[in-house]
Amino acid sequence: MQDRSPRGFPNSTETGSSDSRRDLSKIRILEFGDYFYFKMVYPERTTLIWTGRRPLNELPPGSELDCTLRSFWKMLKDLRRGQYDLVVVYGSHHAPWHPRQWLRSLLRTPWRPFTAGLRVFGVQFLRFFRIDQPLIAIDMADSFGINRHNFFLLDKANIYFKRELPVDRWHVLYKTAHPNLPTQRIRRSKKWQRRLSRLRPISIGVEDISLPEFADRFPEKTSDVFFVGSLDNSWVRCLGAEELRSLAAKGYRIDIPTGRLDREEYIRRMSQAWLAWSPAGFGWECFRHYEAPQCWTVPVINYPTILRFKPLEDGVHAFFYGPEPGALSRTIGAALLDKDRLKQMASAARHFVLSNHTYAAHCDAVIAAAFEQSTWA
Amino acid sequence: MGLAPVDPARAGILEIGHQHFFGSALPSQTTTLWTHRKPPSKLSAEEYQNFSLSAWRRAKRRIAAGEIKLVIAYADDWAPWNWRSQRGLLSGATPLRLAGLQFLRGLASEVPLVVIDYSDSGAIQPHNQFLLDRARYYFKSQLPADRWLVFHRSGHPSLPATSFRRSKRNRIRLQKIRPLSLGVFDSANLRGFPDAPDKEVDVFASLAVPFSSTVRVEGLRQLKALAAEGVRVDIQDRRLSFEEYLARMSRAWLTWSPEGFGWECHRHYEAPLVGSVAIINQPTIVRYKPFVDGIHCFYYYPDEPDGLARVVKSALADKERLRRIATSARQHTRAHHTWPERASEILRISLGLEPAPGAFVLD
Repeated sequence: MQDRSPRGFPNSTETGSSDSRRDLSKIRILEFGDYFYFKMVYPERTTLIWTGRRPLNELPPGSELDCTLRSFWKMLKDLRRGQYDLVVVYGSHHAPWHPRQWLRSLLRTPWRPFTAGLRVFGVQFLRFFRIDQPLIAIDMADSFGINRHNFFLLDKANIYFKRELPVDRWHVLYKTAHPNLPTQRIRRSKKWQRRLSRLRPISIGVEDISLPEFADRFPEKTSDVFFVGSLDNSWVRCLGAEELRSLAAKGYRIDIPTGRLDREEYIRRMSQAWLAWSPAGFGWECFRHYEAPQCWTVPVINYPTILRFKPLEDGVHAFFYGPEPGALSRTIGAALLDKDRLKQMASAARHFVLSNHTYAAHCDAVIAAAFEQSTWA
Repeated sequence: MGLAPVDPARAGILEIGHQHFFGSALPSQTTTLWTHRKPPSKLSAEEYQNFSLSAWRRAKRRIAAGEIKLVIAYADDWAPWNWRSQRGLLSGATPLRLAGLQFLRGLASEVPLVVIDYSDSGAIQPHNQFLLDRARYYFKSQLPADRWLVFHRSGHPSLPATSFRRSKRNRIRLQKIRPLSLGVFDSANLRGFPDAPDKEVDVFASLAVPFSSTVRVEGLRQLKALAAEGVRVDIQDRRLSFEEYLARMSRAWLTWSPEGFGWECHRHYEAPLVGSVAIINQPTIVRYKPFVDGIHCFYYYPDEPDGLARVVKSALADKERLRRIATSARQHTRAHHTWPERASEILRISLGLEPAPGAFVLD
């Protein structure tokens, strides 16, 4: 199996990839998997080979190539010819041989059974081929673990970006490479140390929210706390919703819409609140952490349980609270005492998120990391 | 949950598993049935019984007669049929002893069962999940902030999905799970340290770094940088005797106590008992009677650049405040986090005489 140099990068003499003066705005990208961030942000210089279990509907028709034997072979030839500078691969949560992948794919497009069945295996084909360009793996699963079928990417990739990366990175191997919590025996393994050294955190990422009417003025606030979302997908949410109801009974203006809001209404109501409660869902990362600041609203989030990418700072961009009962109420009560500070925080958080957590910022950060031009990684 | 009034000072306790907190703290009330592959190191042969069919029958007769008012079980990491447990057969343990906890599946329903799970893992292993159905409380030391994660890859093949979380049975199970700190096991060794010991160093760090948590690797780098800046840091990478470890810790203003295999760590509670203030990475779990930041300890964000260094410098700027924090942390630890003293607190909670922390009723 192809492996990378100790720092995880191919030798520069072979690929020239670590040229720190390279113009990153001209990098040609091959995107491979079931996400499409680069095709969305840089459509003109990205080729997307789609391996998702459903057809891609979010982008204009013809944006992607289904991963078939022919398109895969062409992709390899183009890589050999040097038509791409960077390969970005997304590790899927379920293995392609799991029925949730191939069977669902078949059921979605039963009139193209061969393509549907083969497409989901696309990323796994990379096991058998050498890639000379820098290869970046991105794992956006809600789970903190890295599944076994993605281990090969830890060898192939220069950097493996993992959303929900545990504070102790060894926990990504819980019940995958190890039957329980990884013990010292596996932590001593050079192979696993090398693999884990390639892990980096990445946030969930959000799209830009444009609020032209508030470009130069702070929105009027008519509620104290806003929240909309499912309460079923985290204990933290069940517990916090109860506290918000208690706060409402005490006279705080809590805005919790009962139904689903359309996007415009969601943004409007969020921007009218001083604080947005943004608890963890299935994972700690949540779109709301980064949408709220764009609406000039300060997010209130339970303590991070993961390593974060370009973290929001407590008391600067957001408020964090412990998951123990009562902590959310105390945090909200204290935060609402100083509205001037909230205005400053909202402004700082908005600027921070727009600079670091939009899809465009993500793509730029990944490219910079791939070519060793970033300081944070 | 019907909770009959029971006098905790007279309640008979059956303790079953691989720990003996109640047997040590309340020996006159407690019968200890031992199930671990190795015999207990701190109990004499008269103080416990190895689990056997006859011992179990005797215990059941006492339960039926109303002599036993509470059963405490200690959940084990490995199932009795796992080879890691079966190693005990080579050193004289019987298969029945190893499987002792599983006999609780047939426990009479009239006696309350309380489970203590001190596993470093955040999950409840499949072989222990029957205890959730039978138990009044299931105390878990590394309880994830989203409690559903106790079923991650144990009750559910991956991250518990919405359908799993909507199941009534699972929701009832989850409401029984409560946090419990690791605490300090033998607080006797930690007595005798002065309330305000003389300080010779700023930060003490003695822990295994290379093959432990990656939080430690990054933190150690920051501590070494602090030492280069002139902060007095006592970093011990060799193993110290417990006495020397405590003595050095007590001479430091601050003790760095990052998470190891799990977030809970004995050091979090040892430091306050010897007059040093713990610096801990932000909790990733739900805590029992938690330390409050700036009141009992300091927390830092391990993912913020130089987060530890900033907290250390800020803490060392006000020595009077550090003395106050050390005093309040010691009082809090003595009150809630030391065995065997906390046994009576856990007993009152278990008997329903005090509310268990972390309660919440799901709709």
